[in-house]
Amino acid sequence: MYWENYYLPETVDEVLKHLKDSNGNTRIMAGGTDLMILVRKGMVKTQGIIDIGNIKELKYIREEGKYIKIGALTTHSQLAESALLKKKARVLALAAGCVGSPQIRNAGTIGGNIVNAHSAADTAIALTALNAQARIKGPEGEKEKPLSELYTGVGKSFVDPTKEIITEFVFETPGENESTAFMRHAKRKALALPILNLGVWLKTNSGKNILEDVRIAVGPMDYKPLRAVETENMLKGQPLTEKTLKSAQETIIKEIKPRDSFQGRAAYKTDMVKVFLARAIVEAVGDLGGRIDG
Amino acid sequence: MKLRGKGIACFFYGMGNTGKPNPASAYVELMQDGSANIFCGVADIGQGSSTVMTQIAAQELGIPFEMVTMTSADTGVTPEAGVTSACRQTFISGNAVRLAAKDAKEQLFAEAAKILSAGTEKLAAQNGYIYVENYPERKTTVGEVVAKLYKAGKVVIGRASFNPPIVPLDDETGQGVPYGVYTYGTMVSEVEVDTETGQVNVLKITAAQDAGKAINPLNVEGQIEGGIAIGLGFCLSEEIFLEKGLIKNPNFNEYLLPTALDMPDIDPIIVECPEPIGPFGANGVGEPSNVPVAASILNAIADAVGCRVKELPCTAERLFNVLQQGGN
Amino acid sequence: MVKKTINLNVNGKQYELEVEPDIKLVDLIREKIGLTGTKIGCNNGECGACTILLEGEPVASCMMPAFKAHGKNIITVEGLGTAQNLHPLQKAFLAYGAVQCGFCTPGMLMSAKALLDKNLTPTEQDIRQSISGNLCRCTGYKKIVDAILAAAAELRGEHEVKWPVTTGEDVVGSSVTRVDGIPKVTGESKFANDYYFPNMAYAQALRSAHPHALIKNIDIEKAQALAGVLGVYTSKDIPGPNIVGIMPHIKDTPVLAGDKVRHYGDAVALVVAESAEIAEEALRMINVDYEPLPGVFSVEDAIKEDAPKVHEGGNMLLHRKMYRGDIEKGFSEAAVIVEDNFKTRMNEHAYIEPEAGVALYEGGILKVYTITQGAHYHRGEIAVNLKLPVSKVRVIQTTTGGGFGGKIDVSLQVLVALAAFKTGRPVKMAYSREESMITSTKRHPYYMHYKIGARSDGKLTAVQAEIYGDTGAYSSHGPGVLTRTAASIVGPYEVDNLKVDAYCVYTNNPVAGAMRAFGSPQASIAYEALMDELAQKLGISAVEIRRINGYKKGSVIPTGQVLTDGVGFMETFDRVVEKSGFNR
Repeated sequence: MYWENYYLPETVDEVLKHLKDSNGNTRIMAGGTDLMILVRKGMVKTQGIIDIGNIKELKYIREEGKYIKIGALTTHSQLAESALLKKKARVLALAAGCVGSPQIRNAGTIGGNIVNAHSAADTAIALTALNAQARIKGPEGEKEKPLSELYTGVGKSFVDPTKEIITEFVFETPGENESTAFMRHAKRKALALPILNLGVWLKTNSGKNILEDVRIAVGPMDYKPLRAVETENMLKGQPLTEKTLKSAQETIIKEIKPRDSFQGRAAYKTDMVKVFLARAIVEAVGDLGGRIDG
Repeated sequence: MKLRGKGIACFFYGMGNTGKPNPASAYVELMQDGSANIFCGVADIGQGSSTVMTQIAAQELGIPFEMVTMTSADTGVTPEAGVTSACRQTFISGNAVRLAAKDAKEQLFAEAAKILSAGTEKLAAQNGYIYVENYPERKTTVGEVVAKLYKAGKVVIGRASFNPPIVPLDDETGQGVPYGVYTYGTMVSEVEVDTETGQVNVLKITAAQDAGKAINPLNVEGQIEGGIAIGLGFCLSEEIFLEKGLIKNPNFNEYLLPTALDMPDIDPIIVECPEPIGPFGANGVGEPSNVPVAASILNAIADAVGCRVKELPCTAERLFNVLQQGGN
Repeated sequence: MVKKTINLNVNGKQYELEVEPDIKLVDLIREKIGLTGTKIGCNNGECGACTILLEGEPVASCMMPAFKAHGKNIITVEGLGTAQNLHPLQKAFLAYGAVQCGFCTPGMLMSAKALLDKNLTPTEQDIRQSISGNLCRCTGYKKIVDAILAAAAELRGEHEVKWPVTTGEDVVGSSVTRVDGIPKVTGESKFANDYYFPNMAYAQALRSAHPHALIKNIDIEKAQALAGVLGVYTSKDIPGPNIVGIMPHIKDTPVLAGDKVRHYGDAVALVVAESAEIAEEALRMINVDYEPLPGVFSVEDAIKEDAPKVHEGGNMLLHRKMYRGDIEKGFSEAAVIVEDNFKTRMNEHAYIEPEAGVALYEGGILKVYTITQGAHYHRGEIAVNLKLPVSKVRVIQTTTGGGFGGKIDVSLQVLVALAAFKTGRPVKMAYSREESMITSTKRHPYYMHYKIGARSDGKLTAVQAEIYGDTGAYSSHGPGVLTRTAASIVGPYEVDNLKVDAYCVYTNNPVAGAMRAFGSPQASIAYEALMDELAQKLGISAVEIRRINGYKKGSVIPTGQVLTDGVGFMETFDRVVEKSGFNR
């Protein structure tokens, strides 16, 4: 027996009421693709489920002013197929398209993926590169948190699904001279955990030959999507040359913490971070019409 | 850098249990409407043996395919046919079914010879008719002959058992005749290697196999293609991780068989070099397309990058490490 | 548990059902509605066999609480088309040979339908992407892709799928549709886990907690006392010799381990209960007192003089010798000698259908509906171990979802038969993916040393090889696998002088047995690598060295057999070299 109660609320307010009434005994389920595994393995126990799948108000991808806003119940398939994201924040569309299989992408949601707190969740890597904020509603009202602050330990989220709900993700729409890229390396072309995944957002000067700003997110290299801050700092203001890429490669391997796993040994992951960091930057810059000089 | 290469590998493969008797048997029952039931213990596990047996019986009896019904692998009903393994069913059970059908046909022909006033050696059966060779108008139907025999108090039942000709292997030298017949094949794989990551992308596989006679060409192709999928996983991604005897990845999330996206374009080629003791010249074809897959991919990788992984699976990481060491 | 009302529309029919609030969608569809076309392959969202359409989108029903479908529309394979009125996808799957075992087919059809509902002009890549969550172990996917392309063409109104396929003059040589095809595309085929009988009970086995240990005591009292438990059985309850094995002269595998466990897959106790859940709970209440023994986990360790013995007779199960000609003379005639070591890992058969069976003891006949690659072999093992006349046991093979050698050995057949025999109830036993992988046989990991010599003109003169195969805790087909490797040690290349020593070795690893092509794929990576290396060193092409040595009529194989008629090797070689443009 997994749980005794099952609620299917239609609004966020109803969710909050159920959470309040159940006093921590009931937890939110979004797509359920991760939660079902955890419950079956006995890693998560709960008396009741609040299935938020029917809450229409949390399913959207839209541009508002200088921001893109994504409802937490948006599925991976919807993200992957979004024309808006493909055009303006490709890193997220590509990342969502790499999750599991079509079946998993149709059920799994971006909110669920983030609360599950897997450090190599593809959408988490993309959202981290986009410097996204999560909007969370709970008993004390609403708060915003940067994605990078949602991870408190291995598989542990700041968001407590027995008390609160993520409603939305927000990030600044990449603008002129800004671009993104997503890289994934896995042992199989579908249905495989990544050996490594890496998302980049960057901004160049108008001449497209100097990197003005950059954000790099990589997994699974830590308990959370790792922001390669030192590498970012090193890259800022640098000319887009092979030499700069080389320095970035040498810097990033000092700040990642890969571990041996079925996907690969730490040493290999380190080598691959170098390769895919360079490829991501080349691709993002190439998208802007720039190139890396020899 | 992405480098391409091609590699070749070949096989020969014996049908049946190595140097041991492994017989199969079958019954065929003919009905008064000219239809037939065949009973044979052969287990169809998806490879298509029930279809092949039905085709063999229909061909031998000279009745339409649709008039034959196969009952398989039910020990309360079907006689023993051994285990579905070692490519043995088309060759061994196929022979048993053919011989059982032949046994039934001989009973029919004995009666038909009287009806048609011709020697049994002059008779042929096709499409439900028994006729005198070169005189197609001198004919009767299978059903009529069965009915006539029934009225005379005889039910037409054919039965047969077949064992491949083998000589047990000598314990000290291994000499002997391990198998009755063999199948052969050749495969060329074409790959692209990402030298920065060690990732191998198999682009195309051309595979020929000697089926002796393809009883069902579409199914033979299916066996070739399916074997290639298992071979590709064996080569590139499949690995049971053990820790003191405990399987650490007992799931399809970490034990990685190929998905539709991992499989290359396949060009299956059926060669038919008739096998004198196979049913209608057929060999078994089920297993061995899987034999040369890894070898041909590894040879293609070596052709592309000049060095070779000697430990399977050839994951991107293993190949990357070999490439880093500058080959071998 | 308080049941809850669920409303949903399945295949156009409205259902209102009272169900447990935690029931999964796949169980609701299969067990409450009775549509067993939807399959369970992994119960973990990793294989796609359970794919259904929820509001038109393919989802994994094994990963989904049923209430996610509350108020929604579902389509399963049964809603696609019927035997009398097949959907173009179903016709195309039959006509193009996209169906083999049929276990992945329902889910595959659902993914394909979802694609074509949105896109009637898919590219091959679109198709591969859309079925990338549906694992198939039989077909290699090519014919599935072809079938989906053909169905799309029919749905676009371009040309109809040609089906049924008619035979020509000759039935033999015609690509007639497989006889079990239609029920496989409509979901009507009954696989073992699709059988339900009134009053059916469920059996589960307790697996070893150690790779190598003595069993001092098994305490089943608590488990037996649990409400809903019908019986708990150990080795003492088996009437017969409690031993099975596919090699008639090496029966070494206990049905239920009595005094000793030799790998994690050994069953030590069997619970029969009113439900699978109760049986599972009871398993946790069985207390086994083990005395762990040192284990051996590699061939290298197992063949050491002082290695712990997996079986009393020692760890060397077989030394197969294949000696012919004069090996020293052969190497002395060689212009070039190449030598190397190769290694392969343990592989899983990975049939998408896990092991399952249902047994009934009726009217003195023990009937077992089960997956199997050899009904008669399994019948014999059941009869001997239950001490029944062979004729009183009837094994009926159910539609079997792939085997590849992994369903040859006895898995649950004797256990489920014992359960029915003891309780008198119909009993079902169905493995989870994990239990299937831990208990089933594997492809042997090989350690290979090869040395091959050739004359300057490319003719092979000598082959020497030592092969070690890790057969794990029990023999299974191990000796057969190693013998076959020895008998085809250099594939289809003729050599007069050879010395092959092939060893089959026991360890405390999972059992290795028959797997598609018995030890041949392993050896192939070694000899084909060395053939290329010889060619390179001799300055001849990869094609030439194979032509020179390839089998022709009259060639002699390693066992001394002379090949007479039907030697099609060179024809396959020439055709492939030509068609692939291979010129190395």
